Amino acid sequence: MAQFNLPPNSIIGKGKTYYAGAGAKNVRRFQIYRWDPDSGENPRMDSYELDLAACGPMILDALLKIKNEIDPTLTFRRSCREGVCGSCAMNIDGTNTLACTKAIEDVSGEVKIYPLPHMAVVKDLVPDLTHFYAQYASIKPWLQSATPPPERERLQSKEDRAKLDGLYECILCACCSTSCPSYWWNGERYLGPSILLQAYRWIVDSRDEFTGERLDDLEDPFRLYRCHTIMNCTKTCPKGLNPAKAIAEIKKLMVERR
Amino acid sequence: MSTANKRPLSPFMIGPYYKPQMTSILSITHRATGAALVAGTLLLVYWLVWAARGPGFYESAQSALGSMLGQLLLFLWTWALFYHLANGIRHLFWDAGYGFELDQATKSGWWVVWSSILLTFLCWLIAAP
Amino acid sequence: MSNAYQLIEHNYDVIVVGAGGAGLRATFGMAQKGLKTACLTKVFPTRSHTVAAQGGMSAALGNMGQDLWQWHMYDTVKGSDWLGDQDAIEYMCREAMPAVIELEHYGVPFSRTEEGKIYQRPFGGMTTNYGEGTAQRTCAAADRTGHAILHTLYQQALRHDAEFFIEYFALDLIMDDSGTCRGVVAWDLAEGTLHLFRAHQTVLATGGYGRAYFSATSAHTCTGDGNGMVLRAGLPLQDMEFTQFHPTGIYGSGCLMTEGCRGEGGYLTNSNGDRFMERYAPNAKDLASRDVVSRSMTIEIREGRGVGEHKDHIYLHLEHLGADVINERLPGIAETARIFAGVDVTKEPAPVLPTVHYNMGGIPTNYHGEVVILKDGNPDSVVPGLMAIGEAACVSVHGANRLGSNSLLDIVVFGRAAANRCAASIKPNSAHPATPKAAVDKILARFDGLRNAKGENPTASLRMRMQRTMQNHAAVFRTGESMAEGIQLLEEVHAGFDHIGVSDRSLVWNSDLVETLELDNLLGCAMVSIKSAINRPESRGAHAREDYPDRNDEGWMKHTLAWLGPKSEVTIDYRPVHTYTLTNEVDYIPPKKRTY
Repeated sequence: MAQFNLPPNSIIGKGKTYYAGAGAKNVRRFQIYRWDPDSGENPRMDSYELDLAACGPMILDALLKIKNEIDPTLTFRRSCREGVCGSCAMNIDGTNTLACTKAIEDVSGEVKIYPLPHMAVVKDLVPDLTHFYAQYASIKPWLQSATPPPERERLQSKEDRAKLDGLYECILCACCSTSCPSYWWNGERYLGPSILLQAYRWIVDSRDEFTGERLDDLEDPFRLYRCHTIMNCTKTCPKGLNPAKAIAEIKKLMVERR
Repeated sequence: MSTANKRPLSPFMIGPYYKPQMTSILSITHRATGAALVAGTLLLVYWLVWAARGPGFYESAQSALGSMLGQLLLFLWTWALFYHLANGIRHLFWDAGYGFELDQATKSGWWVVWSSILLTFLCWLIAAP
Repeated sequence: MSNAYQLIEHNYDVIVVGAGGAGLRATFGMAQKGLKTACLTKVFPTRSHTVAAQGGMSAALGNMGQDLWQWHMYDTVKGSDWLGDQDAIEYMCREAMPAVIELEHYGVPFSRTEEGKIYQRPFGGMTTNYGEGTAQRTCAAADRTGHAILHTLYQQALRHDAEFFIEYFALDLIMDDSGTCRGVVAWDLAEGTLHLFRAHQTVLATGGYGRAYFSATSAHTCTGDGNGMVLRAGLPLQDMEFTQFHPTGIYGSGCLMTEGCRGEGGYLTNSNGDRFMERYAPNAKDLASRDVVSRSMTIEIREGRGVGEHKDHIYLHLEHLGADVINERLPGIAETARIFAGVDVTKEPAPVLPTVHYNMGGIPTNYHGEVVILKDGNPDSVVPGLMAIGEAACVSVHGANRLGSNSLLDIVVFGRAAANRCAASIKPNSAHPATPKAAVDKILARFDGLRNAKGENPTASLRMRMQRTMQNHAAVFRTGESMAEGIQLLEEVHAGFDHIGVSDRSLVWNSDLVETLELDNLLGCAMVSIKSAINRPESRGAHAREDYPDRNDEGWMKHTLAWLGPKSEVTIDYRPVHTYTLTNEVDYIPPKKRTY
């Protein structure tokens, strides 16, 4: 049965508030989830007031400003700052997205920032993605073919290549999987939308010859079929991809081959 | 792993932490109406069995279902039926692979919500004495 | 003090530090050949900055018209402004075709031509027949080629069961008294533990140091960590004065708009609406080499023809390409321009500015990936146990300026070369000598000192000062005076580092400490970069001096080597450029005037 309550060590308390100085022109409050692994305490929400007139446009800019100017202990993943690496995925204003491409002005009122939902927290906004990565490896996300490769590149028509659009662009940010209630309740065994989208990327690649085996691997009550088309995944994908559709296509293939 | 044991679970519930959206709300409503339909069907079975038991029992079932609470439950059960039916059809289209673009899913979602409300009122208007 | 830290020990045949394109290709290449290999990476492999590369990977496949690797070699030598080593360049250009085909066989989703072959687009400085026509040499996956390649390389690493230590921050190289590298000490961020990795070869694939500047296309993680480790080990870095400014970074955010924009037909205009590149590079125009384009843009802005409210940037036009072409070939930058500039590139021009993008300089190596230094008069003296590949290395295939799409090529070719070299020279599972305790103690002391730093200068403020200094004093155009001023300012930052203050004392995911360690690495790179720059009295490639506007082959066709001392003093020496090719099949290309 799904556990709807947070375990006792995860209940969030109130933390510190950092006020903006006098002379701040455009003040906004950011409430951010914090957890210190050394303290032994429960997580807390710290509030930071920022002058947006002296801050870049994206949520990541605000986080960096807080870290650089107010509280250097604030910890989060970030790298490219342009929406391609997937490091800064977090729950902002209630939905999962990339902090670097989410504009502050798209959020009204206080900005609430949490780590990706239903994940073990390593520190502050950093979730433990080990299991997510292991699930990725489990679908054998590489080209498999029995035919030996040709001297030059394998040919692939433009039409076949177009089938990979909307699939190969996935940055493995985990926004979708951690927005899925099914993944919350059954994440141990259900692969989740991100990994299933990748599974479909290989199923539909004309150069891959192990479609049968890939579909066999998904023939299981949990790995694929915990998807109930809730569609939180597609709604939240910061790259505009459609995992729900990819999963539906897999399910159709599973039926067709019977 | 030494630190793994102590790690908290990040919050997740729809409402306090995750934003309620068309996607998740319509989905959980589908599940809830499914459960409600089961309960409502039991109510229907009760009414049928009482009807079969004789006029006295039938009277008591009729007055129970005719009460304010009874009518409300019937009304809600009707809506649950139409909602679950409409969303069920939406699911069938999804199973065939249609309607997955976000704008399509949102549009079809609104269709389900409004048609379920409309059909409920229509049904009661027609059925009302 | 160092007794307080327990070290968890690991023995491997090879350690690779960094899991970008070069690191991954090396790692699974070695695993494939039966070497016990571990890859340490401070971020999850697919977050490495290779993922942000857009335009493509060059190879003379000839899918879009006749092409020869000899033409590619010529273009690269010219692009390097004759500072590149032509034996390594020949090696890279020859290996390009097999490297691309190997990637396609691995499953990279390259864009395709009507015939189903790999699509190749025009790119800056890539010509046919030694400069005559425009070559379509850059193999592309829309404008997400780096993403496509990096993910595929990670997938191959998974396939070969490569061992990864993810979110481990490498602190320092362990060098023994004979000058041999014996391994690294690294910090596991998730658990807060310290690790000693012994290896017969340590391969540094740690990328560039773009974050030494205020505005760069680089990720926050591009902090020259391998470079910093090499400097602290008493070894030199090479050609650090050559930093590439990419012509089209988005004005404001600095996010990259690929050269492929111009490859697909885009062009630059000034406030008069002129396509000014026609003046500066009559043949190649907007597809001239990047340093030429960046200088041209800077001159236009300086002379008052910049666009926008402050007349401080340039327009990049793509509207004429049409939505179909943009959606098929440039969807990524269309999205980036929308998000970061609020611009719909199918309808309006994008505001762009030359932005720090790549470091030609780095750890000096030969074309096998072995680190080489000047020792006892021998400029090709191999440092035993140490290798370097990718942007962190300076082979040198890019010389004073890199051509676009040669970096994705560089990382894959030399990642593979390093794997081959290790396979040929290491006997798997051979015993490790004892690790020098003093060296390890010194590493732990430095770590502990920074972890407990209580000075009055927060990391962020010192970093900002360094970045502003480099941005203002080591930019597209340099003067001796300006650089001297910059050196002064930078030395003040260095002095300030002795009074740095770290707020977070934890060992678990202490990002404050990580950024402090990274700043130490960046400061070393910045200091060596600007002091090498003031030392070179000529203009070559990306190093453009207003006080020395010409190239001086007689005095200065040589590689700069720079060592960093403990008080930020830089010692300079030189290594000759290789004036020979790899094989007899192609002659050395003698230097000539470089125009586009």
